[in-house]
Amino acid sequence: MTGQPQRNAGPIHRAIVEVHAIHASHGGTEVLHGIDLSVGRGEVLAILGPSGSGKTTLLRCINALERPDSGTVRVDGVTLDYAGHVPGRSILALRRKTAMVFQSYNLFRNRTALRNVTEGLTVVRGVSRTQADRTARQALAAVRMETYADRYPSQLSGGQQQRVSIARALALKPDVILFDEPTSALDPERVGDVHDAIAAVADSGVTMVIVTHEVRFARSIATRVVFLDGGRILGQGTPEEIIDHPSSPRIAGFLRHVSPA
Amino acid sequence: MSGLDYDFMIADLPVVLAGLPTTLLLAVWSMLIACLLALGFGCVILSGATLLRWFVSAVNTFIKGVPLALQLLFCYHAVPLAARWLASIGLMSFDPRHPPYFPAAVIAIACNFSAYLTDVVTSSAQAVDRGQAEAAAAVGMTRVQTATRIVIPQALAIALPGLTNYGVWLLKSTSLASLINVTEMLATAQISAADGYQYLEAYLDAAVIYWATCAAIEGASGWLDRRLKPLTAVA
Repeated sequence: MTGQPQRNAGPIHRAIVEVHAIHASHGGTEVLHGIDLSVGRGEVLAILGPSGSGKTTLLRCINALERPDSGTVRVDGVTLDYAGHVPGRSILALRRKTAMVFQSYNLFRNRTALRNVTEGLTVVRGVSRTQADRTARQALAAVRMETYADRYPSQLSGGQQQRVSIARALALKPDVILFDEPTSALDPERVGDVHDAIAAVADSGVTMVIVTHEVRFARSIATRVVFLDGGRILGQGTPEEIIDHPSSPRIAGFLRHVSPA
Repeated sequence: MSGLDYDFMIADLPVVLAGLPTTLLLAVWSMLIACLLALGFGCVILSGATLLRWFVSAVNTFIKGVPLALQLLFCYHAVPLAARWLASIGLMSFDPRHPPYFPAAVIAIACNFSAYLTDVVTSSAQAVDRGQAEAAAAVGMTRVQTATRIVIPQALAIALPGLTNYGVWLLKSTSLASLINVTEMLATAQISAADGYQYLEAYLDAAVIYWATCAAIEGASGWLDRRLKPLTAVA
């Protein structure tokens, strides 16, 4: 435990992401009822919970793809306080510290795999084309997609697209990568490759927040698990605590349902 | 008279063809201005400004509900009036012996087609998956970067077949400008036929040239569309 304090599931001293008292709603219905959450540097946080529990909304509040009604979101020193007006400049600054992997990949269709990865580097970060190409090819190699660099997204399978999208996130060297159900749109046979790619990223020490339905995957990769239900955090702790020995009957019931032993 | 005068038909072909540059010039200017107008209208309709959006929609339904021939005739009389007024305040020169019929035709055709092209603009922009803009936002792009680098290029690829259809329709509609003294290709054919009353031959010549021009445009557009396939295909 003292050997790698950043992989600690206990109290977080070096939080990279801090979410405080987030309330969010969709069309008048509140879906998050005051969420507090901290993610430490190097943590791999899995968010589990039934459909409609607000997992994805919470994740999208972290990079301001969704604007909560109230509360604060802080990522590495950039704070968005929804009590008042949130300037667009702050949102851009915060997004430059994060990257996201979407459920439906959302690769830029008018860019090849390589240009999908370099786009953010050259356009947003101001990296030179040669440097961006080098970084992008490394990132594509990390997800074993380097031979597909010149293909367009429409010429790649779902699993291949998702691996490129992981490379796109990785290349930005963000403080945190947000994964929104990264394998739920994939054929079951393709899931393994994407899980391997995510595991490789996790091993490199990048901070990650992963919304997922795959309990076994969460169990193997997460350093901490948060269980969300009805827009509230029902429990959190190590994967052993939450998944292997759930204290709450609600969590135990959910786990029995999604992964019958 | 027993049938077509084929010798005249062949001899008249280059004469009619001499009207093609005016037709193309009319079509290109009208299409260009129509596209710019449609882009402006489309932005208004896609934006949240309710009152402006209502106004643009109302103008567009009016334009679509009035025949192009009527709009051309209206501009034929209105544009010289406007030109005379502009000349009186020193903004342009106006020679009453040469009223600006060509600009009048461009204005009428451009306004008419802008209403239809507005639908192409809005539907193409909406056809770009929302996830594209979200992914661009997530990597930290500004709204302008997202629009110019990701959404607009994809919308253009989606819009290409629709733009081509309206472009071809517009090209053929320029023939109506012959109503208002613009000597485009149809008027050129009519003039060439008048001496010997060989209208059928002259019209067939014009028909062949219109058809060949439109076929060439559609062929080029189809080639481009196939090249852009990776951008519009759903994986």
